Amino acid sequence: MTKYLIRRILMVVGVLWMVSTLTYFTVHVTPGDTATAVLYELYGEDAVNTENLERVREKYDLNESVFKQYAEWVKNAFTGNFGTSYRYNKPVSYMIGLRLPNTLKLGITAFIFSVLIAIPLGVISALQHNKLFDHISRIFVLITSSFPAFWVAIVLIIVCALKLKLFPVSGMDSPQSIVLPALTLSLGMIATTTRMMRASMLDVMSQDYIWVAKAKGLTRNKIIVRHILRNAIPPIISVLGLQIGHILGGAVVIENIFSWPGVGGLFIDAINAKDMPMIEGCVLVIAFGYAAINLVVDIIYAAINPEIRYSGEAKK
Amino acid sequence: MKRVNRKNIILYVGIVLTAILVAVAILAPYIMPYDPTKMEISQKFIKPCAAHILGTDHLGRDILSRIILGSRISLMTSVTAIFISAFIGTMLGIISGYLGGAVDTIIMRIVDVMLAFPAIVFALALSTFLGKGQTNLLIAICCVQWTRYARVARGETIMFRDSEYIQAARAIGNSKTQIIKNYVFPAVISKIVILISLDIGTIILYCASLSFLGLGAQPPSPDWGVMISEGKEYMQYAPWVAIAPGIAIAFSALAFNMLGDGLRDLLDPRMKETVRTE
Repeated sequence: MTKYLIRRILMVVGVLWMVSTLTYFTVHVTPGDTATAVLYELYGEDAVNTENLERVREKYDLNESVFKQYAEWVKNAFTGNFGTSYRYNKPVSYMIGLRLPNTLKLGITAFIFSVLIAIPLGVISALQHNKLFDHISRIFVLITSSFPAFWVAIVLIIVCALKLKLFPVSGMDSPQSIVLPALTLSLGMIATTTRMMRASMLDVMSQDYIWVAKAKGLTRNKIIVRHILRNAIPPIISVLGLQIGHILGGAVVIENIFSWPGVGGLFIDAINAKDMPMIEGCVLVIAFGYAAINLVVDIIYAAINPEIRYSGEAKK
Repeated sequence: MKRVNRKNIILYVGIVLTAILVAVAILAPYIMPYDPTKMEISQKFIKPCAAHILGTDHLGRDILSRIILGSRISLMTSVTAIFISAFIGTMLGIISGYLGGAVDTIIMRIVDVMLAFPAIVFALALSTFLGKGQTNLLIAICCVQWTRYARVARGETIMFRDSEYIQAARAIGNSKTQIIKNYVFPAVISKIVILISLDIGTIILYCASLSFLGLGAQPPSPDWGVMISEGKEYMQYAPWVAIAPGIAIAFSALAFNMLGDGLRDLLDPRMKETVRTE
C-alpha cells in the first residue's frame, strides 16, 4: 500500500510539473507582444508608447529570455508565488485564493446534487431493468447528456429566475443563488453516473453469488443491500472521481454565465485579457485540484479493494 | 432476431436523426426561408410566428435560416476534428503499442499529462496561444481529443501484437510498416470506429461551448454557440433568440449519441455479452 501511494504521488508531481511547463511555454510563445497587451488592458490604447512599453517590460521582467523567465517562474511557484496579474495588478495567488473557496462551494454542492439524484436513479433503473422506469430514466440520461450545459443554464435563468423569479439571475448574494449554477453543473455528471451505476448494478446482478443468495432464500431487500449494492458501489467511486474533473471543467463555463465569482470566471477573463501569469496560475490550480481528487479517489479505491492493496499496482 | 431488432431501436432512431441532420446541412442553401445574413433592423425581435417560425434576432435576421446554415459549421467542424484526432491518436497509439520501449513511454506520458486536467481547460489555454477563430478551435480540439484514441489503439495493439497471425506476418519477412498497415491497423479500427461514433456528440458540445465563450467562429457567423452567446444578452425580452440554437445543438448531439450507443451495442462483442447475460 505504501509503495503504491508513493508511486501515485510521484506520478502526480511529475504530471503537474509537465502541465505547468506545457502551459508556460504555450502561453509564452503566444503571438503578439505581451507588454502591448498589458498596457492596452490596463490603460487603454493611448498608453501604448515606447516609453511605457519599456517600463512594463522592466516591471514584469519581459526582457529576459523565455527560459530564464521560466526558471524564475518555477522557483517562485514552489513558494506559492505565481507572479503578478497584468490585469488586476495584484498577486495571482492572492486573486486565486480569493476566488477558490467559491468554486469549491459550487463544485461540492453540484457533486452532492448529482450523487443524490444519480445513485438512486441508477439503482432503481437496474432493479426495474427493461421496465417503464428503466426506459424513462435511460431516455432522461440520453437527453440530459445531449444538451449543452451553458444552454441549460440560460434556459434555467429565463424560466426560474426571470419568469418565475424563484432564484436570483446571477452573483452569489443570497444562499439561493447557488441552486441554479450547481444544478446546471451537476446535470452532465448525473447522466454519466446514472449510466455507470445502472451498468454496475446489472453486472453484479448477473453474478453467480446473487443466484446463490437467492437460492439460500434471503429476502429481496437483504440481497439488494448486502450483496448487490455492496459490490456495485466500489467501481462507481472511481467514476465519481473522474466526474469531479468534469465539474472543474464545467465550472469554467457555468461560472461565466451566472457571474459566479470563482476561479473559472477568473480564467476566462484572464484568457480574454491575455493575462499570462493568471492563466498559468488558474491552469495549475485546476490541474492540481483534478490530480489531488483523483489521487484521493485512487487511495479510497485501493483501501477498499484488496486486489490493488496487495499487488501494489492499480488495475483499471 | 426480433429481440435484436428491438434492442437496436436506439441505433435506428440515431440513423434517422443523423440522416435528417446531414440532409439539412447539405441542402441548407435550398431550404433556408430567408437570407441568414440579411439584417433588417425594422424586423428585429419578432416573436416566433408564421412568417418567421423561430422568430428574428437583434439584427432582424431570421433565426431558422441561421440555424439551418449553422448546421454546416457545426457538422464540418466536429466531423473534421474527430477524424483528424482519431487519425493522429490511432497512429500514435499503434506505434506506441507496437514498438514499446522508450517511444511508448514518451507517448504515454504525454497522454497522461493531457488527461491530467479537464479537456476544456486545456483547449482554452491553447486558444490563448492560437488565437480565436474556427480553424484554431479545430486545432485546439484535436490537440485534446487524440489522447483517447491513442489509449484505445495502444491497448488493442498490445493485445494483437503477439497473436499468431502477426507473428506469421513477421516470419514471412514483412517490414514493421507493412505489418502495422496491413495487419495491426485493420484489427484496431473497429474499436476506433465505435469510439468515433460515441465521441461526435461530445465534440459537438465542446465546439459549441468554446464558440459560446468566444473562441471559435466570430459574429456574424451563424455558428450555434455564437448565436446563443449573442442571444444571452437579450434573454429577458427575447428568450427565443438563445433557446432555438440550443435545441439544434442538442438535436445533433442526441442524434450522434444514439447512433454511437446503438453502434457500440451492435459491434462491440463484450457489450453484446453483457446484454446477453442480463
